Amino acid sequence: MNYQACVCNLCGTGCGQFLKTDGKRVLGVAPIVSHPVSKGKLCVRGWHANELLNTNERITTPLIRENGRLREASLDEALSLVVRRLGECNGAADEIGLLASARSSNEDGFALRRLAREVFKTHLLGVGAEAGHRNSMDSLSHAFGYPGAVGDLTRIDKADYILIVGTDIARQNPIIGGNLHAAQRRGARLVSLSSSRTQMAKLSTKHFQQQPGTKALVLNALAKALHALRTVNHARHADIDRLAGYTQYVNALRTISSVALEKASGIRYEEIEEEAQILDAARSVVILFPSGISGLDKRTIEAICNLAVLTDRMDDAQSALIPVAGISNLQGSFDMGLSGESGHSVFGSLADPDSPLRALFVVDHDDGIIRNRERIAALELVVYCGAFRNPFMDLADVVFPLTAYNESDGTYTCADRRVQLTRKNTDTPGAGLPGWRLYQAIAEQAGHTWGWRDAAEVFLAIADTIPSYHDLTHHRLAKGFGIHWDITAFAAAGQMKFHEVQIDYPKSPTCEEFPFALMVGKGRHFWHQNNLMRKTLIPRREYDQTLLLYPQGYVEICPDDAQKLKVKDKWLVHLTSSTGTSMKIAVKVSPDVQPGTAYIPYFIKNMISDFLIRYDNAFAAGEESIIPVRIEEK
Amino acid sequence: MYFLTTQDINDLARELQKTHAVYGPQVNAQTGQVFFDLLAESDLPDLEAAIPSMPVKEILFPQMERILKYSYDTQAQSVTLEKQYGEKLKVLFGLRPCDLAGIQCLDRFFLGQEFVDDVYLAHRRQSILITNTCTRPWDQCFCVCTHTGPAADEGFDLDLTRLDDGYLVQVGSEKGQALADTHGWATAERRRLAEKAAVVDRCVERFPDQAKDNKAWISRAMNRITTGFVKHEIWEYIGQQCFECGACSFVCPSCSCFNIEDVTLCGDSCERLRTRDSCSFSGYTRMAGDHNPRAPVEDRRNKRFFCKLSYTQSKKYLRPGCVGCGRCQLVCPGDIGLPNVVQYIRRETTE
Amino acid sequence: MTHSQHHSEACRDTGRCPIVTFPEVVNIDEIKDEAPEVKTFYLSFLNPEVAPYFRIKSGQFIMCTVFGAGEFAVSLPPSPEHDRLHITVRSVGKVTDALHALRPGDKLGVRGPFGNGFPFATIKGKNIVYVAGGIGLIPLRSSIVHALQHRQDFGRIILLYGARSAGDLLYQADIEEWKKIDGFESFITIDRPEPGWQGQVGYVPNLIEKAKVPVEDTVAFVCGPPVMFNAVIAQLLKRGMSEDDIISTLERQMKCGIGKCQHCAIGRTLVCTDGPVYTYHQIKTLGEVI
Repeated sequence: MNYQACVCNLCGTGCGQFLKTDGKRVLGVAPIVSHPVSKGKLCVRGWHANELLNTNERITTPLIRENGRLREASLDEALSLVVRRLGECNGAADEIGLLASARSSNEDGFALRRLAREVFKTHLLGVGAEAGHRNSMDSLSHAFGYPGAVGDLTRIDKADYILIVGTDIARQNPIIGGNLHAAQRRGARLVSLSSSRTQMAKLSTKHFQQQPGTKALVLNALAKALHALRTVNHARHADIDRLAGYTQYVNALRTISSVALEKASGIRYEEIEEEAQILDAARSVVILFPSGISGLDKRTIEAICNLAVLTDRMDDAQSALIPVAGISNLQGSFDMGLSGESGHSVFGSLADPDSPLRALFVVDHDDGIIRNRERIAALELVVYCGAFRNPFMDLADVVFPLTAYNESDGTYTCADRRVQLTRKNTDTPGAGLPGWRLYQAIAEQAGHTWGWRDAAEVFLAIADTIPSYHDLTHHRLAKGFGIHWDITAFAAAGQMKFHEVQIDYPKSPTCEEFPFALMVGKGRHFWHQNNLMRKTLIPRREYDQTLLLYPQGYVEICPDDAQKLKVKDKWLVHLTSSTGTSMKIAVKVSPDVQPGTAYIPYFIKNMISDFLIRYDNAFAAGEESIIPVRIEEK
Repeated sequence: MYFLTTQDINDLARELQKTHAVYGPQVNAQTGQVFFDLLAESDLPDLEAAIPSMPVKEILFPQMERILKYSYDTQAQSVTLEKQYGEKLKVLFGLRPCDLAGIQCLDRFFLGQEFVDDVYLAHRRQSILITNTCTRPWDQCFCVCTHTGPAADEGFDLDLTRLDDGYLVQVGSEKGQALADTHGWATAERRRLAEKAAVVDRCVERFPDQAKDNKAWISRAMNRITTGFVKHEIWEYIGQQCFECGACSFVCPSCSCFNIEDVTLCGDSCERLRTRDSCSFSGYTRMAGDHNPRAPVEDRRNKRFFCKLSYTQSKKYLRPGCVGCGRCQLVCPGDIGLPNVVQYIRRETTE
Repeated sequence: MTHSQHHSEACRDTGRCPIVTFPEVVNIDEIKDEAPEVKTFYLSFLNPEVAPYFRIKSGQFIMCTVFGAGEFAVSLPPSPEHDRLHITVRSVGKVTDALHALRPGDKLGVRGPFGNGFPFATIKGKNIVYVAGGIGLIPLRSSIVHALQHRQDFGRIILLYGARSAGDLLYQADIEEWKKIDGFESFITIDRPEPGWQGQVGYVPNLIEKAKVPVEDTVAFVCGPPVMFNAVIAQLLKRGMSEDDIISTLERQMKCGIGKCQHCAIGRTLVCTDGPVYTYHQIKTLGEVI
């Protein structure tokens, strides 16, 4: 039997995937039919993992930069060079930064953090895509007492009422999207809240197409309407009113003016009241929202958490509130403590030209775009560890080869806290090491003995250190399809709280001069991590397909606006932002965006470097970021 | 027509393993999932296993295959080419009739047209096909609607049917006869045919209770699709549910579309990879110079069902392209596996 | 036995040579700049045993491998007889860009010839009107040369050809040669006037009127960009030409050339084996937009 079960490593859904392998090469892919979440389905990315894992663009040996060029080196030479050079830096004084990968296994992440703390003595850590997920974790911790999903993804299959806030889950996490579509077909009410008509919105029972930037307001209005019903219907009223923050929350909700609501969001309160009646009648409620790089801003997530608590359905066996991560082990990376701490952000240090940062240690950089490139290029030492070749190598002084996800044992924690084990099923081409083994070797070179012999032993250390993983072992995880980490490890779990809210009516930042609200997103494409997708054949072709029709990228506007601007599909226009940056880009005319709004996919390179650079907070605000722009015919 | 004991069947499998690569149904221990894959030396085909989760075409038309390797020397301006596949003796031991029907479709398509596909031929020429009559349907099955099961009527080398006390073995080709002759198997009595008919009847009777997932009485839908009388809204509704994963094509026993790409290994060495493709992808029909004649997703879906269910296409395969295995329905994140599309079209017709 | 020897054997056995699966290696003897971004490559087979059997029909195409970059379908401009093997290619993508970077002496892979070709047998004695826009002249060249080589078999032979500018006109030397042949009429146009250009200005469809294109006993071979194609068809139909007498050659993404990969499927037809040459009537009834 050539088929080996493992966990797909692309998005945070954690689909069950078989790889067909002869032990040396991956020959094919098949879905796992009995997997409780993916149920025998995979998306275009998962189906083509064999192409990715067969790429010749692998890093196969350690490399050292010499006279401006990377040359092959022995592991020992590279290790001693790194340890010596990093030894010259003072980690405690924020001179060493680590940029971890949300795709690495928990074992690798845990070992990396140990390396940072114990050997480099630095606090400067970070994971790509962390800003969005940190908002989710903070809000969930406050509201539910632990930083992770409430309930799990299988609850989609039985819930009465499902609310999806933002993003196109049908593209970002297509298998969750498929499950949602199935839920809708069996009769669940599927409600989408997003300013564009995404595929998910099209498949929903009801789509609230709000003005960009007003998701939180609409959610709060829904809460107000729901609360009004609950107040009338005392018999069904639980202890919600005794929870911390209740009074402030409810008082704030009461202030919502239906006139101002409609003006800001474009949605009538009556429509929301009708929706609240249906929500009120639902026995179980599942709420999903994107987390990570296409994540939401803080106030929107807080509004979601508040609404979830207010429904009083979160303790139902079929209810859930899930931050849907876009990357396989984003949740695990946070569990392992790889996200930066306040005041010690590696991203902050990179963005600040005066920070003391001297050296950067990077693992599997995944984004197609390297931010703060000049700052990184100017550092004294950049170490890159990865399985696949990557533009980051151009900046690296030392490169270490890592194994791909199917070439070493490791556990991955997907969006709903499900910890799943992938076993090694194929040999690594060249000298690639599992991350934990490499970090242990670096530690050893620096005089620290960790003594791990295999990934299972690393996991024992994880179980010892990370409370929510205390009862997990590789042995337990080897059976079935993973185990959700234990929320009761958090003392506050189960004690619900409301977030403090402030009702504001976001005014569209557009004006006569800059009449379009530009949304920057990647939520509507399969291709966000195009560094990996570019190494495949079919998904790459599909990615190129988008850019071939619009080689200079595109900005999506609705047919009415196109007519007003007197432009047609594929025509080039000038896009000028209110800060004065501008770019030339093609128009894509589509009925899926609202009048007065424009949408631009995040993966267009020069856009990030030239156009967005002054909008760094646009990344933090994720899906809800709006930039006022002007569109002119060329 | 012969009668063999389970032991005889196992002996045959073991003996063939000495000279052939023997593929057969196996159950993955961790997941319980059935694959039709190369048998390890110690393994026997599990003839009781459920319908394999992936189609058997993986053996004859793999997901990814290296067909050519070449290296080009830019200095010397010279090239060396090397063929990357060869003929191997293969036995497909315990094929379900629907998978056999899939192979017949592929045979007719790859071998029976103006040109012969050399790569497929290399896999196929030396293959021995041994089918296994289904004694029960599984949830997903609807071969009774597509006339591809539960028993195979032609196209096999040997056909096995599990009876109470052993296997009825029927011969379907000279290759199969040669195997029978060399082994001197015991001839089956005539009553065994009646026993087989009873097994098949019992299986068919179980369809209404057991095979509940899919029903696709395709003849009416074929008529609509061929004549183009399916409303555009139906295609749009179908297109909206398409997640563009390509799974339906990958698991379809009769889907044969592929892509060819030259991939650079290192330096000037290059491999020509042939990978399965799907007409559901938007890049599938795109031409250089950015003209895409079939861009909207519903057009692409339309194309697939046209290919499976129109009379004109069926002429190529000498049968409809659907073999009733139900796999496309199982792997579709939307709700547009072939049986469901047939339902949509039929529902529209009855409206 | 190398695959090339295998091809030799197959050629001797069958007397014909479609190179089906493995590319046969050809040498680039000469490269000619035809127009901006358009080059003509003159080719010869390394295996001398294959060459005599590599017989083409007008309207056929080959699959051409640029080693290291990939394979693409390209129509054959040479006439079936007395012509050097060559291809004319505009650089429009990854593979054709790589082709344009090659030098004489570099090698290419060739499979084919594939496709049905133009229906010469059925049009004897008729007038032929060639209508081409831009690089649309490439697939028609073979047929024009063939028709002129058999001048006596046909009535009037008219070429209506247009390009964006004078520099974009392909096969200018050929056209000059053809003009010398008795009974060959040509109308050449460019989109906008430019210094030094004495000929027609305007779009190709307008030439139909000017050339007083005959309709009776006439076939039209049309090839060009979609906008031109549609306008030309409309004009011809207006003049009373039958849909069966308008013949074109279609282009689709192709991967195999032998009717297997199905990338080129249009409705119920495969362009590589059923086409690439179709009558307008067939095109209209393929069951899918083109």
